[in-house]
Amino acid sequence: MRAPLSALVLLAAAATPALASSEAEAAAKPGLLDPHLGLMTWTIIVFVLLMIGLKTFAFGPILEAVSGREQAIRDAIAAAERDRAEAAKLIAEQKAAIEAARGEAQRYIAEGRATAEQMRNELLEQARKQQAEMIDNAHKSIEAEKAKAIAELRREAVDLALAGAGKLIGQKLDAAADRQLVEQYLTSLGGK
Amino acid sequence: MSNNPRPSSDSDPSSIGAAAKYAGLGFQLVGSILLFLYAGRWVDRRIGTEPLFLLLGVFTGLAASIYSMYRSLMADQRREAERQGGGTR
Amino acid sequence: MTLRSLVATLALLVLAASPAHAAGTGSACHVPEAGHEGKVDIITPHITNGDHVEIPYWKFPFFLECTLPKWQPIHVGPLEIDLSPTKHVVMLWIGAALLFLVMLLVRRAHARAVTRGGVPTGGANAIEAMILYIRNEVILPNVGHHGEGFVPYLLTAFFMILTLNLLGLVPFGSTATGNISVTATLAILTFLTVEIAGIRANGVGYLNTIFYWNNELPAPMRPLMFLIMSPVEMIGKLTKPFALAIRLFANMTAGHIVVLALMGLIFEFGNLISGAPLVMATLIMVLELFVAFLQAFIFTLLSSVFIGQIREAHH
Repeated sequence: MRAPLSALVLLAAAATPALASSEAEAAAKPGLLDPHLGLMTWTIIVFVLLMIGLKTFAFGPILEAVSGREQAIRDAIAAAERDRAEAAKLIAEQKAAIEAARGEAQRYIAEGRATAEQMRNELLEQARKQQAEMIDNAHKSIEAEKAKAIAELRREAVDLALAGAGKLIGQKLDAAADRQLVEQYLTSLGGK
Repeated sequence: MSNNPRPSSDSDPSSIGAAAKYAGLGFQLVGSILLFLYAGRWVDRRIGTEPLFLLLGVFTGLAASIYSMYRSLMADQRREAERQGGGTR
Repeated sequence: MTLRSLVATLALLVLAASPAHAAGTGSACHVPEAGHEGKVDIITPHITNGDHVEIPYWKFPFFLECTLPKWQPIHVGPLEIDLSPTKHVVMLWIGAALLFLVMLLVRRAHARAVTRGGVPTGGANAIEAMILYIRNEVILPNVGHHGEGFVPYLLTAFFMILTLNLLGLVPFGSTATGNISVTATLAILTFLTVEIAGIRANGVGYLNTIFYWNNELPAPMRPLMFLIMSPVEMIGKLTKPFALAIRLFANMTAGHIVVLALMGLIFEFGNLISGAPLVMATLIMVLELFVAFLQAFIFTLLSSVFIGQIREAHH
């Protein structure tokens, strides 16, 4: 119990320096537990100077450099992260663009195909119509030619018949009346 | 928050720190018992009730320092609980 | 200012501090008289303070005893302070100068490495790792939020205690941290730091860490509990630095006593059995090396914990 006791005294002495000096005077020869005011003062002086010195010349710069380094690493990581995100974004954008382009191309192709189809159909239709028209025209002109030919033929035939019959009956038949007769006859024979 | 420590790896240092708070408790116990012991002896000498206040002082000191320990333990526990509660938000 | 000039100035200062004064005030180095007969107490002079230092010498017995100068004590108010250098004062100077020098070298190596964009290598890196470990794992987690301001004090305390501890293990050295005055002063500095931190963090609430006034108690109980508990709180406050001082002092002193006692055994036996104490003394020295680090660490850790404790009191 003596050591803690005297140490307690010492602490009290340290707190109240007036006591300490009397204590120091009382113990003339150095003991293990004697406080020594000079040494305490020196400790404070050396410690405070050392603290200021180290803070200014060592810890401050070192910690600053370290935090600078940490900052640099953090920045680098952040930059890498950012770059990666950016790259990912770019890739996504590119992919989207490609996708869009592909869609567009698809659309163009489909559109082209549709247009072509339509055009073909139209052309076909037109051609068919033209063809039909041409056939129609041909038919018509054939018909006309045929009618003309038939009429020609019929007149020719009437003429021939009249001439034949006139020769046959030796007299010239009355042209108009006879002609009507023959024609009636021919008509009765049929349309052709 | 440029250079915070790593968010508590919760290994040795912090747990040592938690335990280290109580490193001086023994001294506190002895100190307060002694204080009340001497106070009791002083009172005894003043009013001549020889061992009464000295004994009372010893027990008062013991009880008071134990109560103080209990209080600081409880406070730490509460803070720890708060920190845990705050940590899991 | 360049580092080189700084170092030179420092070295000059150290040189000027001891021998010049020594010459001026009549201190002298001499070969210690040999041949004490009978029992000599080798332990007490070694672990206590004294007014002479031992320096290496090339002839037997390989050291000189230098008597340190005696200065007039100065008076500060009622105090008479004897600032004459003693053995431990000189160790304080040497330790501080050495530490400062080492730290400057570390800083220079560090600056050089940083401009190259890398990390320092070797010893500088080891010390940087120590600084960072103490700061990031011991100080900052324990002192609580915004504890950057306490870093210089606590780091300086750690490295100063470590340096002084280690200087005690060096031949011709002496352990200044084995002197109760030194450890008590360091503890008082910690005590002041803790209390100032408490005042700054808690304001008027700081009084709650000294006085006990519990409003949850029934009214008549309050003054009684105040009278009983306040001294206990105050003692609790004071015993923390007290324990710090005693712990450091006792650890450093005890190790030296053990080593010296074992060395004494060597001379006591004076024969082959001396090998056993020799081996044990060596082992204890290794242990001491560890203890030197451990005690510096514990002092710093406890100081950080105390600061953190008072800063988050009554939040």
